[in-house]
Amino acid sequence: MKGYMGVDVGSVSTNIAIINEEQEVIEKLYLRTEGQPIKAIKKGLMEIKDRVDCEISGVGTTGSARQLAGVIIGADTVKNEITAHAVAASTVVPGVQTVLEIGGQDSKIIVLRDGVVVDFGMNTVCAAGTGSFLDQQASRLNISIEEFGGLALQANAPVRIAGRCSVFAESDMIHKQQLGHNVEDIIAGLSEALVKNYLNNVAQGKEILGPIVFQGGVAANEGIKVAFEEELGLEVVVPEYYDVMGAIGSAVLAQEAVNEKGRTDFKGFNTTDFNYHASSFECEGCPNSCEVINIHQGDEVIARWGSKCPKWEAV
Amino acid sequence: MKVTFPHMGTMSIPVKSMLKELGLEVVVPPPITKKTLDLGVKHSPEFACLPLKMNVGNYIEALEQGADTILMGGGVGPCRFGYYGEVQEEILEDLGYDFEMIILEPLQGDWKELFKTIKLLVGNIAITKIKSAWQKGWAKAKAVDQLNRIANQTRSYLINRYRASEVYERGLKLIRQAETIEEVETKVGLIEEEFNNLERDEDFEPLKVGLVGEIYVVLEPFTNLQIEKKLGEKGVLVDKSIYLTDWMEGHLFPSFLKRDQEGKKVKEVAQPYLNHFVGGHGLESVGETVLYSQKGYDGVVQLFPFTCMPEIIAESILPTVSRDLNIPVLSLTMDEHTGEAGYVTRLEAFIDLLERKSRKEKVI
Amino acid sequence: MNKRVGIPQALFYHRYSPAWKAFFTELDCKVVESGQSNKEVIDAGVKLAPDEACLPVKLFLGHVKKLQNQVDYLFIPRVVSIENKEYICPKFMGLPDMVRYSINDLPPIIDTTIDLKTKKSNLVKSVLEVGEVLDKGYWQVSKACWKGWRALKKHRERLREAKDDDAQYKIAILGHEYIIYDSHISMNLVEKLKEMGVEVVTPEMLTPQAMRVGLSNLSKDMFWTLGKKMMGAAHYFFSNQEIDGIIQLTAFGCGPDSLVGEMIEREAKKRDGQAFMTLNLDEHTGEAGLVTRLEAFVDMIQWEGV
Repeated sequence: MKGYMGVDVGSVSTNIAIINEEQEVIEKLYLRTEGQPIKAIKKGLMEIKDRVDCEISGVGTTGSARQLAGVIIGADTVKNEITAHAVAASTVVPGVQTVLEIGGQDSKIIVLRDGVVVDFGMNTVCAAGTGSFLDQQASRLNISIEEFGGLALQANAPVRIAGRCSVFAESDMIHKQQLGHNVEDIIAGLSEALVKNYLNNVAQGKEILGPIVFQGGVAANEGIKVAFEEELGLEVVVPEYYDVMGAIGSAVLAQEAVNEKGRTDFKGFNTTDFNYHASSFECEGCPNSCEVINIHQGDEVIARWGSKCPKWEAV
Repeated sequence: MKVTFPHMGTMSIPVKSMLKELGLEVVVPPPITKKTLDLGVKHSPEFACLPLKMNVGNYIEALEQGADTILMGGGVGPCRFGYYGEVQEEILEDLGYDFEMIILEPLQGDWKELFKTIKLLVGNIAITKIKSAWQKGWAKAKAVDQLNRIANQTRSYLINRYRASEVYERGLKLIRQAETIEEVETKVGLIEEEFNNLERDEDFEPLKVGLVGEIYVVLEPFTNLQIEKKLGEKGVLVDKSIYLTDWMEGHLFPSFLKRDQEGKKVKEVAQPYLNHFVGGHGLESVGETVLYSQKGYDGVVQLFPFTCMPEIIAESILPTVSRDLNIPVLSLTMDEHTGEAGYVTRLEAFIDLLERKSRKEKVI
Repeated sequence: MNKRVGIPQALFYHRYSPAWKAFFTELDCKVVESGQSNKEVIDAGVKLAPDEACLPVKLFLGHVKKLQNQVDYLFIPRVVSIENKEYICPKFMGLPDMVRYSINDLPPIIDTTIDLKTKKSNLVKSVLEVGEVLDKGYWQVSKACWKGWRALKKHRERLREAKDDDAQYKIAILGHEYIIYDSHISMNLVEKLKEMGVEVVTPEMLTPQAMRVGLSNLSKDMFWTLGKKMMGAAHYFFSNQEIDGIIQLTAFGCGPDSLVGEMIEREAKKRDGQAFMTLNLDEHTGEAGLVTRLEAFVDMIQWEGV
């Protein structure tokens, strides 16, 4: 059997998905990056290798460490996460017109019409519309993030929590706690605040039409899904593999790429046997002080990026 | 007197020549780096727009190198640029620098003002000298714009796209060093030929993207994170709607000398969406987007500094233009917090969007 | 039936409402105002406007949204200039367009251009344009215009007469009318100060003469009418011994404020004898925090006074 693998390496999690020729997911994996992408990639590959018995005919990478992952694995396609998420959503839910994606550190909206991306938006510097906002507040309330969504649904009267910014939201939340509101109502309020922030910041000015797919780590949170449905007045679909959609999209893109070029550059699972490490140095050529990153395979530098000028481009 | 002025893309090349020709000693601020930005951000009002901050960084670095006179453009509103000079002067004075600030107010059909300012700078000077300074500067301005245009037209077709920037940079250096107008023209010819000799993929059909927006961010590669190079090296043909010569014309020409055919057309096509000037390049951003769609471009990128007033108006109108004319528009705001990674992700996703759209349209 | 003309209660409403109301009433229209700002109006505006827009523009969009289904016309003039050689700000010039392309299914907008940059008499043209839209004759429009002008004049005189002789301290507030007089956005700042026994002075209360005195301190003639007024008022207050403190209110995202406010703040730092404080207001400013700062500010003046 032939399989295509997608690897999504983000700052919070590293996800791998393997699909078959019919673009059905046959295996998936979700693990924490913990600030060490190389380690996470190797660990992920090792784990998934034992779980599947198919020949990997193509590999794609995406996420903020897509370049790094691409070099290490030998990717056939290295694509940004917006495109990967869009491709995944339209593969899983054909005809999808809006994709809401909320991950740990960033969030995006993708607008598709007739299967083609026509518009998109991403959160700017602020974290108020992202998963880390919920993580922070959950830990402040001493609740595990898994319980969060269920608790929100038990609220009777969600409290209003102000704040475009997670720092303000936090102080407002503390204030509401002092006033004696119960935890369920506060959690529901936080969910609504997240949804409002997302719609005002990330999705501002975008035309949101159904079918709507909600994906990314935060989609596990039933409370947020319901808050979206109430705010938009439309049904919101959470796909089965909502947490690895970037990886699925990347796998689909790999399939496309391999079909086009007729071979794969995949270095094989044995790539994990090599010793990869990254080193960085600050270039002193000019006051830009670019932080240049070297990726080593053994003693050899195999990739390098981070400089503004071409000085370090060649390896 | 040692004169300095702020950077904006390649502007220092013609302006330095012009000032030197007037007999002035010139201190060009060091090229913009992260340090320039940090200095500017540190000393400027938090909510001021980015160009003001960048200018302040330039001034500080130039004053540290011995400049004592700052030459800056002025304006009559309503965009904030017209008031930059006043605020910047105040900031630098509060920092304890000793300098003179000369603000060139735009000529409203009046030569007298210009002569007054020139007199401030150089005292009494023969009119022929002013004329030759202008001609030389203008020739260099046209030359750098020309090279920029060729680089953008060529880059996406090249087998090795990185070569375009190498040749372009070398060309800028030659123009910077050129002593006479004839030399400028010869050097442009040389570089043009060098571009023509680069190996191309003639069958390649690039996506075409137009850049609109606020002039400083469009013209200054440091601020727009080298968008022309980034897009071009990904195989996109980039066209800018504004060039340095346009700005010089707008700010340094008396109004009765302006040949504003293009401007009229932009206004005309913008009219169904925005039928009034809103300061800065807001109206142009709307009009140029319409023109790009008429010229068959695949997409438009609107660039502007965070909180830029005229461009926010354009931003609120562009989604409608985009829908009506079926041309995708990506609005990007730039400030000191703009991260390169997120920026690149947006650009790449935009290219993917255009690629898939154009592929689909071809099938139909 | 009388036509219903909707006036969003934001931006220049706070400067010209007496004139506008008298004008449209005289033209046999029923004036419908959107009412005081509230949380709902702000939320609606924040949702409609680009994220980068300033708070007052977001608020304006919220007010328009509220009027959307209640009126036959919306009055949103394109105010380019109200003084010779001056502008308001770019957003006022593009306001009708921003509204039109941000909210769907709006009633017709009366978006006549008001541009007095070259001559004041241009106002006649604008006023007649409005008359044309409403199908009213020259004389009726002229009369309405005159009535509007009278109403405005009266309103301004009343503002200047407001005095509180019992107050212990006098605090000047610098800021746009549409911030100071929007009780929701300014969180009733003026009333709060009055309750603390403070007399409040705003730039609108200054006589033209006082304003001229203040403006004589400016190095460059400013091309923003509202910014110029702020600068002039600031300089007048700086040199007025009766003013114990100055509070500057700026709106989040306001372009001119980002420079004018900075210039005023820098000037204030170079002087002593008057307390000075800048409050930057946005839709999330908490009332509790504001009260704390106001109380501390008044306390500070009190201590200095002792």
